[in-house]
Amino acid sequence: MTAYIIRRIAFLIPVCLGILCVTFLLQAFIPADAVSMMYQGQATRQQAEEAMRIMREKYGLDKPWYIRFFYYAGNVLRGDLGISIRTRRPVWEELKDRYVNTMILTGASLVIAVIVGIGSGIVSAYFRDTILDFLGQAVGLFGISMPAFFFGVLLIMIFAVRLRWVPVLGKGDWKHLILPALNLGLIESAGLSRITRSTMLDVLNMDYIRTARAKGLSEPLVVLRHALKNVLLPVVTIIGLQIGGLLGGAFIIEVIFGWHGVGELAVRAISWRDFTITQAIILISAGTYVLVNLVVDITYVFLDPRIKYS
Amino acid sequence: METANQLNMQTPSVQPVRRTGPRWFLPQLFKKRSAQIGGSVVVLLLFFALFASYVIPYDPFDVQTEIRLTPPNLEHPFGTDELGRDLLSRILYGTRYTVMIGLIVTGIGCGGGFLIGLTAAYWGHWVDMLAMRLIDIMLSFPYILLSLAIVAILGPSLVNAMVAAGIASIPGYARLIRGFVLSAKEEEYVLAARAIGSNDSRIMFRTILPNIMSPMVIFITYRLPLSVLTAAALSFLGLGTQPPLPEWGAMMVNSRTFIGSAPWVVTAPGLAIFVVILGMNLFGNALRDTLDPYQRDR
Repeated sequence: MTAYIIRRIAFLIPVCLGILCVTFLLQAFIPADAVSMMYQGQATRQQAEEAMRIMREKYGLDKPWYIRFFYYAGNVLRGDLGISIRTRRPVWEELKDRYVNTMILTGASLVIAVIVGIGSGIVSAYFRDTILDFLGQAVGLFGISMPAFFFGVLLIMIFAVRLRWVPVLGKGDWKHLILPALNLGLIESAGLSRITRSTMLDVLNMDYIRTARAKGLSEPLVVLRHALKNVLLPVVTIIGLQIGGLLGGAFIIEVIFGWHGVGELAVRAISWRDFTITQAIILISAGTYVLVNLVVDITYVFLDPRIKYS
Repeated sequence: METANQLNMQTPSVQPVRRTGPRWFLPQLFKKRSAQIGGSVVVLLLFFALFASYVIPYDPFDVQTEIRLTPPNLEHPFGTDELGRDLLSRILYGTRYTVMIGLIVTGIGCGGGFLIGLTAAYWGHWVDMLAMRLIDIMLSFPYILLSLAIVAILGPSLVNAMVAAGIASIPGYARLIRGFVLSAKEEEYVLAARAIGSNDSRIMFRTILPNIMSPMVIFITYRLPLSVLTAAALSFLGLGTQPPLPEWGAMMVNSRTFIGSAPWVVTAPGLAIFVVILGMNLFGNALRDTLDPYQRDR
């Protein structure tokens, strides 16, 4: 088990290095370097050039690309993500609160997606070919076809504008979280529901389920104790992959609901051409995705004894 | 002897059930209700993409401020937008962008993925190792995030959004095609092609490619709606199509401020995207069920 976890963590090193390379490459495609963009049309020419020289030295922008990469990687490892071109504040200062907000939104959506997705998948499979199954599948199909941004607009229209149950926009108390989390969670639950249903259908036909029934166990016990455990492994894999969808989806949802997360900032930063912020957000989001998948892979050990004993 | 004769006589009457080819496939496909509904949506989408200019009732770019934000009525069945433009005409005209986005994004993703996947699997060794590590790194970025990163480099526009969504979908295609090619290249027909002296490009494009088309079509039907949705989402974020082009995602972002006073301005293009994606998914599901032998026999 320990060997498996160590192997899995070791596999992270080349992936993280690759992510660093990709985000570093973003700099290469930018028309001008971040520092000259920062001081464009600011102060007197002499002052600007002096400031630019200092900044370039600090971030190694006057060095060849391979040295720049080491500067970049070193700064990232120290937690220095650069200075925002627009606000001239350290990028991490701009990001830290927003990152927490995005994690809150993603976490709440994940809980909704898991409860609704797995729940409806189990019900659909157990009541296969009944009206419940048909309804579950129809809702699932609607879910994967519904654009998240349109669903968000509908939710705002119904629950915030017409019924006035929740606030329309912004980031305040827990009430502000309801609609965005529902939006993202319900959309992501559609895929999860489909996978759970098809896996559950396979599992319900297995010999050990027949044995459990033959022993006289009650149906809830058969489903929840014997079937669900075996459904969870592929479902957890999908949940890991869906974190990517949730993180990406959060970018759109945050814009719709004015939720102050990194996604909303990323979209603004792209319009402002604030590349240091964009670069940092892409790095942090990809890093989070990779780490979450590591956690998912490690949970396999606890879910699948075959890994533990191998 | 008599038994053998009887068997010989009976043999011609026992015809194997033919379960391949378009004559078997098309009736099987369109027997399904989802293929009928989804297929109709796709055909209508293609029809309007080609002929919308001839059938739309109003000019989709014609600004008439005196009838701005008119609710749906007989003259304007979907109402008018904040500049008095007829929404039905704009939506029908916008089908061309949806089709273009779908084709270009899928073309870039599938073409790029095909080249990488096929080359990696066919040549193997260090080519395969290098290509797959590159794919692993690209896959460590969520799809929409990778699209955003590429748009950040290229700048916001319809073409750049399509290129971004296309490039971001390459890793998914590449990994899948590599898997198909790896199993296909061990088949005897590839050995036979090599034995008769076919060169590498002939084996790749004339022998292996036709044999992996069926699973590829299944994957494309799964990815196509996702590509259209991503490009629409980029437009909705203001990073794709720019006004005044009537692309559905862009139409929604421009009208979002009127949710409370004129909801039809937002719901009409939103519903259009939803119906088209639903149609594509329904048709894709039916196609998968018909083409995939595992699903077919379930």
